Amino acid sequence: MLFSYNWLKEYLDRLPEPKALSDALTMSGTEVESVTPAGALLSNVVTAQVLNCDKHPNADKLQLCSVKTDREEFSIVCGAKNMLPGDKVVLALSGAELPGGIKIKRSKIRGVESQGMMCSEVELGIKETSNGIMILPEDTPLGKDITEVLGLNDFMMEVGITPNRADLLSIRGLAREIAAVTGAAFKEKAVTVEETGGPVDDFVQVSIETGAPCRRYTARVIEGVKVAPSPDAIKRRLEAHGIRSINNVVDVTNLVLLETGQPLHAFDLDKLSAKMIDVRLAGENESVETIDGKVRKLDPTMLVIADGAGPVALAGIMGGKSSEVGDSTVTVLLESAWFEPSAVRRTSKKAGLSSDSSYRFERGVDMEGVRAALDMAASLINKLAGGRVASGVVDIYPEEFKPASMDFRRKRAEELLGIELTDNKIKEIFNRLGIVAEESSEGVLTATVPSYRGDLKNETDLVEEVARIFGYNNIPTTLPMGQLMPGHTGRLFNIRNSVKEILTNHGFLEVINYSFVSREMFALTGPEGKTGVTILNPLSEDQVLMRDSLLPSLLENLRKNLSRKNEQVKIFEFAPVYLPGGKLPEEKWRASGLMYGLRWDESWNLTKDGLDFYDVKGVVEKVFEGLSLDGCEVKRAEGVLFHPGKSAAVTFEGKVAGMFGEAHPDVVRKFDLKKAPLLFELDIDAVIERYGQGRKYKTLPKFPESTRDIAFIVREDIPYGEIISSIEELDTNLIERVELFDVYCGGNIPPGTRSMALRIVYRSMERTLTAHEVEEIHSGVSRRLAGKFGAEVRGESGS
Amino acid sequence: MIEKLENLLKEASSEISKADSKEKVLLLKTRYVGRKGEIASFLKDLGGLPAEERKAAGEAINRAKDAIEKEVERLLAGFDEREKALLLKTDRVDVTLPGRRVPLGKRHPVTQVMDSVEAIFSGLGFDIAEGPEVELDYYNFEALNLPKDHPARDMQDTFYINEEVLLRTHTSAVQPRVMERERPPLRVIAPGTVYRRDSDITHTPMFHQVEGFMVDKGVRFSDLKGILTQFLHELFGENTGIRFRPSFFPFTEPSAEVDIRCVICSGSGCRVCKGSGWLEILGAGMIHPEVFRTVKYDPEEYTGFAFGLGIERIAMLKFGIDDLRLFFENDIRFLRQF
Ligand SMILES: [Zn+2]
Repeated sequence: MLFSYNWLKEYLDRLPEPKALSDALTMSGTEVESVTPAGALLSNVVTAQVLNCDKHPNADKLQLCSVKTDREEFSIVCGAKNMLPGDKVVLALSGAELPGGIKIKRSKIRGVESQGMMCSEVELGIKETSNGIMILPEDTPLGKDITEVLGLNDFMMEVGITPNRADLLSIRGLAREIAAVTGAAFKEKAVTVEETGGPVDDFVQVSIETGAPCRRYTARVIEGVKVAPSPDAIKRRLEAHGIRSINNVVDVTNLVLLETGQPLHAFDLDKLSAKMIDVRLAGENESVETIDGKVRKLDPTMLVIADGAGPVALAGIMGGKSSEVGDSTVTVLLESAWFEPSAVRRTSKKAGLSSDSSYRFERGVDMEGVRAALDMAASLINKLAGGRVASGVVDIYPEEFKPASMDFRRKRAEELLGIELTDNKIKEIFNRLGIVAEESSEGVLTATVPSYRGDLKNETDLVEEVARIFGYNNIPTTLPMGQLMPGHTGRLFNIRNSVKEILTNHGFLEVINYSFVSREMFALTGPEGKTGVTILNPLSEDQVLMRDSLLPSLLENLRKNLSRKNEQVKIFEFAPVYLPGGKLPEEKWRASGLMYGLRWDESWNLTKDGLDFYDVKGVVEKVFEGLSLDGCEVKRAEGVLFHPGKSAAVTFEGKVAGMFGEAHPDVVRKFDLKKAPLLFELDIDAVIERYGQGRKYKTLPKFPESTRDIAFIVREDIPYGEIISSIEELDTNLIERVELFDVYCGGNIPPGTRSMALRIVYRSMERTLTAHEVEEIHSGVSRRLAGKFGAEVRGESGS
Repeated sequence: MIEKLENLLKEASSEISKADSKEKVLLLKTRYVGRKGEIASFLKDLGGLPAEERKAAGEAINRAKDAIEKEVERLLAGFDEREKALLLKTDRVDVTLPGRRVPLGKRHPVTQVMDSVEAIFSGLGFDIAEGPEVELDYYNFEALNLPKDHPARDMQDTFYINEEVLLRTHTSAVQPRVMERERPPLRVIAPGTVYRRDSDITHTPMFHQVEGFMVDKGVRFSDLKGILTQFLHELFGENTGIRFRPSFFPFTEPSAEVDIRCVICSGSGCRVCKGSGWLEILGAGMIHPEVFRTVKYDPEEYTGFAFGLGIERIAMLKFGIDDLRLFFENDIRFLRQF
């Protein structure tokens, strides 16, 4: 919120300079985000008087004027013609700087020297449009700095008011706070209303419906007003605080809102049916057209101000069009009330409409300040728009405000803050905040808080006040008492860390994508018609559904990178996916990756092979090995995103723990790729229970191994996995391992078959195997291959 | 014979010293001390000498043989040395050619900062807890003293799944979950992903936070200052200026905003710190008694503090990144840099 420094000054003696003030406010919890000089960019611009104006000797459209300040006379060439001799004007002298960076210097215009410039409001930066140069009031003294005369040398402070401090949403409220935190003296403004009209009850009848969420309603009537534009000073002040000037009556309500924090509304009383006001909840099927021209449908939860015919305002939010104050208004009904914050918030949300007024009501205004704001506004309207203020005030206030009061235990505050306090110190702090404190027993004060501090409801609220004024930086820095135990990390934390370690060591870069995707991306992973976790109020159509797979995001990352000529892409993401479930969706952790490009980065000493299925399989195997999860199985499997012939599922202890392979050609086309990326997605939840058990040491063999090779031709469609397990089960004691060292098709190998070469390592843990023993098992292998798979054994060799 | 031997020795030395290659030295070696060489022929003649001379002559022959062999060895060693030196001079690689290297993968900068934050708090005895990202309104708001219709809810624009379920707006939602399940003493941090309905140059709809809290008997605001000061000194350096100033959060009271001296301008004021010389880095405070009551802790018995920090902001400061959106574009040229 914006605050004028000059306006604050009206309430304070000894107000610190803007810099010191913003530091003091910031360090006491009211953050000053910026301080901007307002209008003070003008220098060397003074008040002056036009002595005479003649035609420029060389230009028809220009005038040559002589203008004097309090000391000197200047000759000025000017294009405007709206000034007459004797007019007081604004003169920018040589060396002046105007808003927008214009610099004034003596210069010749059409052969005649001009010693400065007479300024318009636009040139001074105080208005959007103007007709010629600015004419000042007749009684303006000469030679004065214009910033002083027009009150332009102000500072606008942008202040972040925390939601609990509704009392700071006004000049007066912030001034009060400044007094408390800086020691500046707060001074109240005296307001007197001259009641010269007839009794207010003759003008209007006001009632609050029983149970309506309105605890106070005050009103005054001003008759015979002349609605007109506001004086410039008022317009400027409103505009500096971000409010558009409307007319003198409406502007006063806004001005008083800014100054006191009390929202007000002015009705054209002559347009109120039956000259009555009823504060009530709306009926079914009622509606109101608000000042912004929109018709708002109402329901019985919404609080309205009604006249004899129906609703004329959304209470505390916005007035109605039908009773708006305009040029023809002569009788004004001025409202100042206190509506329940929750009622205003509810109504505002339902109507989808908020305003400066509702913002304050929602946070709570000072019930005891309602009347004072009304009087301030009435007297100001009277001053600006004339007319007569009716005598008497409507003030319906069924249940008077009772100030909150609570106990404050010194010891509790000391223990909570880690400081020592004296009763005197506490009382001094409370006194500065307007809190009345009385000692009720040893170490206990009973504190009564002022009506405007609705946020102080309990002892802790008061402790915070004490800490705030005491100064956070005066509180010492300690370390907690008690035993320090090393922190625990969870299983998810640990497995995530391991997976990231393994994949980054393998050259993968970690990406982080938004958890929400477009409908199209969501549908990509199939199956058709599936439901997802949907966001009710997404920011855009690209962020509608919580993803159920990380792979579409990775593919999108690939597409973006390729468009930026990043052609070697190896990325992974570790994140949850969201599957519709019970009350909350299920969040399943996934580790997914994508590889694209060459196996190695292109380099003078590396091969330039492309990636294939076995690269991604190797990564998956490495992850499982790194996690000490031995015994995963890989089986052919199909998934929507994958090439049906080049994809597989990995299972661990019977559970599917992920899928990997080459992307489906449709995916390649969809993402506009030159070749197929390799993908994997691992289901961390399927293995997390078994993670972290580590491995047990196996005794190193004491007896030598014997190796035998075997080469054979076998039908292409027989999976290697079957061959190898069939060999291994021949003798689980003596066959230590089987290594595949060659696979070959084509050439002299018949079509539909392939040649494979295996090295089988034989070893016993108990003795050295004899050549004879080894030969015996090895020929068993040969027989098994021929018998079970129809393999044609081409050669055996041993060592 | 001795005389002849001496002449031979002289001749041999001069011949050998004149040899200019390894091969010539080896030839001379064969000629003089080979099995059929000149020295060997002296040995043959030895038998013809009288017995009393034989011993002395034998010794002389051996001496001559040793001398020649030594000389040969010396020269050979010299040639080897020169050969090796020559080889070492010519057999070389261009060390500036790139190594055969599989590029190292990198953790995302956000992860890296998260890792260091976790490591520091782990060292301070904090456990690590996690909670769901799609969360109940109850844990995200209500249990944190933010009832429905509370104006402070406006501070955080929320994505909703339905009336009761939302994307958590802060990792503070983990706080009531942990407290509901466990009893004090507690020292916990909860790192994670959070969401707010906000997207512009300084906001992304998804970002990362670490929430932390400590609950025990006798936990004071001064302890909060102590722990966070230690944390910030570890993260940003021992000499980093720190200030605590009052603020407002519904779930803590007293609440604080913690600033560090601007790491860009060291406090003189710059664009990053908006001229203030300070950077807002943490929100914190003493856990509100209302939060304790909700999880059935007695606020008279236990006190505690909580804090939360945004990871992206710290990553931007630590790495000098000036555009928040880079974190989620996943351009590999960006990701490789950290
Ligand atoms: Zn700075």
